Amino acid sequence: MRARLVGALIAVLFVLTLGRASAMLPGLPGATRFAIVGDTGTGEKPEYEVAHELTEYHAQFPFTFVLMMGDNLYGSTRPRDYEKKFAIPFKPLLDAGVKFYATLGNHDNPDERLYTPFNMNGQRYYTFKQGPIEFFVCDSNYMDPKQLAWLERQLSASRARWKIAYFHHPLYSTGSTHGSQTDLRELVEPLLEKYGVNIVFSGHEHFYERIKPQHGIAYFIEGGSAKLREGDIQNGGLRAAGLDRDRSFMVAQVSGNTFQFETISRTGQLVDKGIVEKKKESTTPTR
Amino acid sequence: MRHASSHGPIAAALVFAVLIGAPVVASTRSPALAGERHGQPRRGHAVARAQLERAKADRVNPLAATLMQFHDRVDAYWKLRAQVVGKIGTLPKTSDPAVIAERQRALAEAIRKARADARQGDIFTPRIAVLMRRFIASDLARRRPVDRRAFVVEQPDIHLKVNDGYPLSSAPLATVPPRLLKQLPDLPDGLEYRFVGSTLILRDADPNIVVDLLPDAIPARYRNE
Repeated sequence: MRARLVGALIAVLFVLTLGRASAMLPGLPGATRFAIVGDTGTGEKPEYEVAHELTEYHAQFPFTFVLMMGDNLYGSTRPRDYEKKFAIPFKPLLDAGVKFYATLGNHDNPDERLYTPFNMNGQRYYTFKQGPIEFFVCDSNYMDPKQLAWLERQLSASRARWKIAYFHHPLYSTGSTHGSQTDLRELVEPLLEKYGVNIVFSGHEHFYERIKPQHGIAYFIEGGSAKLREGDIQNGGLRAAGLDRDRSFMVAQVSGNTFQFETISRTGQLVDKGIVEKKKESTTPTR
Repeated sequence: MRHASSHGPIAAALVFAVLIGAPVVASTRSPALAGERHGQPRRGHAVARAQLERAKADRVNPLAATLMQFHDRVDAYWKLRAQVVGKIGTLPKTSDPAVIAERQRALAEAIRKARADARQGDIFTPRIAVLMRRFIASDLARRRPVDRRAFVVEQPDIHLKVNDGYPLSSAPLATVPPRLLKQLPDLPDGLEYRFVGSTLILRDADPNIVVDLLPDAIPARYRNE
């Protein structure tokens, strides 16, 4: 029997505010601040525009690291592609000491795991900690039994206050092109639920989408930071908010039991914002 | 080093063993399993059938024996690869992608040279091919038509040969469904199953080369579903 979480995510508060100028997240002292981008690696103008807007945001809200949802480099991966599709557009942030933590998408060359600016430590899947958060970064392109066993070991050993998982393929999506990855969900979600993962980020769909919380977990898709699949979001019971008319990125901060986020469009418009709250500390599963 | 097979194949082997009342453990050194040849599919299938008959007569579980044979052949490749890596070195972690690419090229070239006589079917022998196709067909049969279509459509339509490099720039590696991966025998870290068209390939990730191929791994009835 699947264990129930004790003290897991019990309150999720969201405020949807579309179409007005960006309001910066409040700078909470001691908060862990980060950004989320996905499917960035085109090397084309929209990627540069999103990177520029992200840099502008960083000037006001100095996040210290960025999560990359995969498809970090589309097409060829010659040295100049790493420059054009990553190092140049994100140079101001890299120069400011912002670290990037990548996951592999289906368009990525797995050798990207060795590229040190992606901070994957040579691994297809890995974990890292920042403040009260432990991040579990998976390779959803090839979720073999070894990786599943690894994920369970890492999750069960984690004592982090916040557990955030991310990987390229979304477990839930209303996208008409791809949609929910049910095969992956069947194997991965029970682990996320059992060990009290609070938030899951994915990419793959070329839009932004916030899914209504599922099994106590907040799901976000941010795969629209360079490519765009216009009009791909479908109406349905899963969707809480979304943007498929322009590119976007997310920024977030965690302080105490609160996770706050904003989603910003390529042109600096506020797309979505909200809060995920934990009311208890313990995320120890019961059997 | 032998790699433990995944639960799916083991469970299937156990069930099969119970059905035929045979011991589960078999050795590839068994006379019933010796001498299989690749590159001659028709004769290979005939040999495989004959060997299965002999295995039954010898009260050896042919499914377990086939899995054992698969692991032995994968191990043989992995040992050869380890020797090459010992000389060339592993891929480095670096901020210079040119260094990674150059080491990968050197590694791939050395592996190709070390197995210059490798042929399709060296690892996916006729007997193993039958087993793999059965695992894949069984997995696909359990899926909804819409999911099968999504899986089939995602596979890049390219043709590869043993020792070819995988064209990552033009053909993204298609995702392998996790439930299917649970059914297939385990591989060492770095060796992976992938599909191109309806062909299953065994890809060595670091040198990015095709180690072996199994054509028609996706049943024809599902390709144009």
